[in-house]
Amino acid sequence: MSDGKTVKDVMLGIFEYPHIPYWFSIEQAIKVVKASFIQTQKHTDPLAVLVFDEKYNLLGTVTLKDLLRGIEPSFLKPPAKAQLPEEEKTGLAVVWDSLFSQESKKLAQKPVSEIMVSAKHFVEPGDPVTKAAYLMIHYDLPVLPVIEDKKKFVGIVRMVEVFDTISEEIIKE
Amino acid sequence: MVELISRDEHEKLYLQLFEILKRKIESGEWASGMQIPTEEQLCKMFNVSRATVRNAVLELVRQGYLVRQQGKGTFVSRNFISEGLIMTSVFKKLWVEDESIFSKEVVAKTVMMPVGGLSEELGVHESRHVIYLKILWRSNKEPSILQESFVPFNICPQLLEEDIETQSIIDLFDKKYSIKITKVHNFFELFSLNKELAQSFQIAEGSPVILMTQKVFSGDTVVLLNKFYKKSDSNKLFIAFQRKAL
Repeated sequence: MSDGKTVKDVMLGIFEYPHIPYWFSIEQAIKVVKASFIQTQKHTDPLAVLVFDEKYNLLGTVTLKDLLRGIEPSFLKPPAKAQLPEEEKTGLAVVWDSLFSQESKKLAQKPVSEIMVSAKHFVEPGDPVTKAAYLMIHYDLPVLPVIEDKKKFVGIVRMVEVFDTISEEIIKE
Repeated sequence: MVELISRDEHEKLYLQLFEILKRKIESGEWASGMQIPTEEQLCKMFNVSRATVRNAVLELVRQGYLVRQQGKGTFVSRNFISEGLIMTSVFKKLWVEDESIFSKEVVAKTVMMPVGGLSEELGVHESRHVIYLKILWRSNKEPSILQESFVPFNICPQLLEEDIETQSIIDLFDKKYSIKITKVHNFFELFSLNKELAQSFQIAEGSPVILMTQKVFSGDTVVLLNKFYKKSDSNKLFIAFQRKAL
């Protein structure tokens, strides 16, 4: 299946993605996204920022959705105990224009470590692409880190390459 | 003897040419007061472009090895420490009066993007990766100096693997990676500690420190940006200039 392709055949280098330390604020991360992706129009889809610790170990990833969720005012969040009727979940009196304003500015000072998605699942360069596909589907991962010898972070697997490899099998005459 | 320029080395051509010409002056092959060959002749001698020659010569003029005389040509300086304050100095990792009393601890070695003012200081675009180092200098076990260093990733990717606790970045550049340091700019200012830095020093936020920003160049490229935060204690920062005897 999938021509015995391994992760190493489809992964991207880690420098395709911007890097930040975990103590960066959400605001700084937003600036990084703007500078690295939006201004340069270099869309390495999915747009994600890699978060590292002070010893340059990968801690997690931050996507645009994580960033927006991080600055979303608290009253918009679904209540912890979701016992309210559906239509009240987002609060009835929301004025959409003033959303993401004052409170968001304050929230943007939080460190990214509070909003990132921790990197818990990894593949090795020699693993089959199918293993990467399994992890990405089941854990809903936007990007999957590739770790060599259980230590060195060497690459990124994206859905597009996984899809391309696996779908090749299906459409082959 | 004509030394050749190596095109395999990643070192910039004009820096190589600079070194070759400098050696000619230092060895006396080009005697003091002598007029050096014209730009055109140098282009032919070394098979390089006019821009390369011009940059190398300009750097030699800047460093006092050569003098230009309007309408006459370029000459080897008679006294190649020119008037003014251009002197040879020893580039060291940090200038402190007595280095032996300091212990160095690398508290961070990671990669970040230079958003905010940093990209301007480094002269790189905000979308370029930068190696970030944070080093705490202690004397008598007390934190005395906090060093933050920034190196554009493409200048020296291998730096991430290097031991910088026992080696200086400048030494590594110079000796191992043939990144020739040609000038250093130092800026001094008074700085109030922000929360994060204050924590490293274990003193109150807002405490005044001396901030020495050091831009280290190879040619016109900033290869290293150092920020030294020095708190008030019994140690002093110190810069030595040394005249080179000829």
